[in-house]
Amino acid sequence: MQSRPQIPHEPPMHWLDAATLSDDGLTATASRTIHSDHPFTRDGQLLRSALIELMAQTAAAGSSMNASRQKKKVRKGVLAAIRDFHVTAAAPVGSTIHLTATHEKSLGSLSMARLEARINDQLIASARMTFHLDIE
Amino acid sequence: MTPTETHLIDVLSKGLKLQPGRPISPDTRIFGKEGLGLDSVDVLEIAVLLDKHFGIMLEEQNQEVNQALASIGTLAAFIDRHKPAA
Repeated sequence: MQSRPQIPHEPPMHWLDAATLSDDGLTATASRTIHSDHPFTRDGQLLRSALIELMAQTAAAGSSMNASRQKKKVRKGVLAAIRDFHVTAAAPVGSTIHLTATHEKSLGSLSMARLEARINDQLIASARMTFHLDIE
Repeated sequence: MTPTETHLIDVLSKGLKLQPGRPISPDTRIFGKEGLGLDSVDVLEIAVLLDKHFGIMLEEQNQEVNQALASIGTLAAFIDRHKPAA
C-alpha cells in the first residue's frame, strides 16, 4: 500500500490512509479509518456525501498510480457523473472503510469505474462514476 | 422500425433508465433535451451497453462514432454495420 496516496487533495480533504493498484491496473483499493474529528461526521457516523468523496478519491488514486506506471501523470481529473449510488449501511466513527474502484470502460478522455465501500467485508455503499481525465 | 432499432430502444430505455412512456422513434436524437435528454458524459454508458448487448466495442470516439450517435436510427445502422457475425 502507498503510505500516502498520490491525489491532488490536501488535508483536511485528503482522506485516504492507503491505496494500492492491482497488477492488471484495473482495480484500485484504498482504506480510511473514520475518526471522531473527521469533518464529515455527524452523530457518530460518516455523512453519505462523504462516501462519494471517498470513492472518488479511490478512483483518483488508482488513475494516478496507473498513469505513473506508464511514466505519465494525471494533469487534471474531474468527477463528471454518478449513477446508481446506493448506501446500505452506515459508517460509524471508529470503523475502517475499505474501498475498491474497478475500471469498466474508457473512451477518449472519459473513464468509468464501479465503486464499492465495505466495512468488515459488508458492502455499505456502491456507485458507478464517470471521470474526465487529462493525462500527460 | 428495424429489429435492431427496436432492440436498441429497449436496451437504452432500461440501461439508462429513460422516462417511461416517452415516445422514441428512429428519428429521436440521442443527445439534448429535444431527444433522449442525454449528454456527452452518457457516451460511456452507451458504450458499455453496446458492448454488453450487441458485442460492439467502441475504442475511440472518432467521426464515424460521433455521426452514429446522432439518433436512434443512425446508431442502429452503426450496430448493423459492426456487430459480430453470429
